[in-house]
Amino acid sequence: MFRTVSSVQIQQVPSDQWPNRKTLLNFDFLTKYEAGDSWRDMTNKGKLVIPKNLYFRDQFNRRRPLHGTNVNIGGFSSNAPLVLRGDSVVMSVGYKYFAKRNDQRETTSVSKIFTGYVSKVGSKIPIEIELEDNMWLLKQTPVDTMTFTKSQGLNSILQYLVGKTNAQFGTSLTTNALTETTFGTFPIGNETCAQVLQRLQKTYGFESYFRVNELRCGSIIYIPSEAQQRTFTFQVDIIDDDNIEYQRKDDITLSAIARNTIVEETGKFTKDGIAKTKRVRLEVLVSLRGGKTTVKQINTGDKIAPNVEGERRTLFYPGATTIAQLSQLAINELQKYYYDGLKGYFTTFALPFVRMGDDVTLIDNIMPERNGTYRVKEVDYSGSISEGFRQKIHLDFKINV
Amino acid sequence: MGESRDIRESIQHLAGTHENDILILADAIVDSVEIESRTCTVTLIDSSKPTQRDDVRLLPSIDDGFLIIPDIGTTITIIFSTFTAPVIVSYSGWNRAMFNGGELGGLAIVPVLIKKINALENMLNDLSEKYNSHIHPVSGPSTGPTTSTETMTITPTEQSEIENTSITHGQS
Repeated sequence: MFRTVSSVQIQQVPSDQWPNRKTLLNFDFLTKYEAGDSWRDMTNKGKLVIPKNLYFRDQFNRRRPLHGTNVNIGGFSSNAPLVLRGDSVVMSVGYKYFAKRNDQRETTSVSKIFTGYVSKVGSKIPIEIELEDNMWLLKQTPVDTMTFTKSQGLNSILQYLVGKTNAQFGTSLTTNALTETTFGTFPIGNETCAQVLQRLQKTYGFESYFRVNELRCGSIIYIPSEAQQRTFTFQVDIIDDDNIEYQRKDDITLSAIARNTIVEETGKFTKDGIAKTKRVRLEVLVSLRGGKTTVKQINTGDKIAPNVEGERRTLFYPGATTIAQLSQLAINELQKYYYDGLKGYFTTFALPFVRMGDDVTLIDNIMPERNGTYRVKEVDYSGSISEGFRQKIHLDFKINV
Repeated sequence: MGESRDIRESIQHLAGTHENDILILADAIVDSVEIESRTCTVTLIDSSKPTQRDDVRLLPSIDDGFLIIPDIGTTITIIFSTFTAPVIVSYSGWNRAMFNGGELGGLAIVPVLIKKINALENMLNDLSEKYNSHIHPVSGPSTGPTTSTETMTITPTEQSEIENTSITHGQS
């Protein structure tokens, strides 16, 4: 039998108003909790619900009431509030179980599902606390007005943003540029560190996310070497597969318009002896249909074939300098999603614990055509006293095509 | 949890604003000019904090074209977008302008040119008058030189006298 265990640690952060608010709170159960692990929204969010009428033990193992005159939740009295926006939170969930039939002692398997900060404290009962990961700190950190030069790449930008945040909050965040590239001149100013990352996403399609304390950013999202291999079996440990669909290559039509603008030398010189340049728009339409890949260069004035069926993406590759490079990058991207296999998400228990970027192998003993290994793009964790712990695992693409 | 991005993008698709470019028009002060790269460095003065940009283009690409070099410290208006580097659209003051490379030199300074032409015209008129009214003294079978001689002289014009070197032009 598996017994759910959950805990949350809330480290109070002192403020000007309450300089002695430094208590470390440990709750060894939660009424309800949610957390996400994904690169899709830049910020991973979470939510936890705790009852108001209970006791907690502080770091000195003292029992203190959560209600009454001693401690208030929202800070609406002269006492320091129990939880404030900006307090750091670590949420862990797992199971206690007997690993083998004759075991006398239970095995405890607990995983950290969320590390971050309190972004909002609700005023209702039970108490709802909204959480955000380290990106919350970058949302509070304004950047200086400056310009990154043409020779300064993505890593320089990330190091600046993280350095600025570390200096403001005394944290030790690190960076990992998943794609090393330059953007030409890149000015920043009048915005927060998170808004700079948002611009990188919007302009160049570079996704940013935190893996614990490491800020990652790039056009490549996953680090295959850190992917854990997890196996799930239909009819055994997959609780809900209603949102998984089987797709066949024959039924898939994928296309992408990939583009970039480059500066080319014309081979001529200005009258003061400088090489003349011109701006050239590189654009291709790449389609995958019926097992065939077609690439069509789009020239100025060409009409782009309408997207009558299937999915069409717009891809921007600042590093591509030729049509061939642009086409290959687009084909590589589309082929990830062009396979016979499953797409969607399924719900399972807490074990094995899955994180975004892991590989899950799905096994179906009744319908073996559903077998396959997939990269996980998102995991939604949720649980409550009544429902236990659930993982909603979203598949990105098939690994073993 | 990650549905919010899908919802956001779906709304953008419905509103027709997905991947729309945003154009920004802004006033700026010129800090320096880099003629070789046909760019200048400016400080934007419209934003809540002065922002410096060193990629403001004087021309869309490096070429001869119609190159206007702004004066340092003057106000310009620039336009840029998410995907396009800024380019100057209006100048308050400029130092030099070149059409097509400027190898033919500066445009003519009209008052100086008029003065030169007038001098030429005056001399020609004077010469014409003297020619029409001149008398040759006679001594014997042949006449002597005219008594009404032209005393004015014309100095050949140098290009530098009549050109405005701040606006030069060339052939395409």
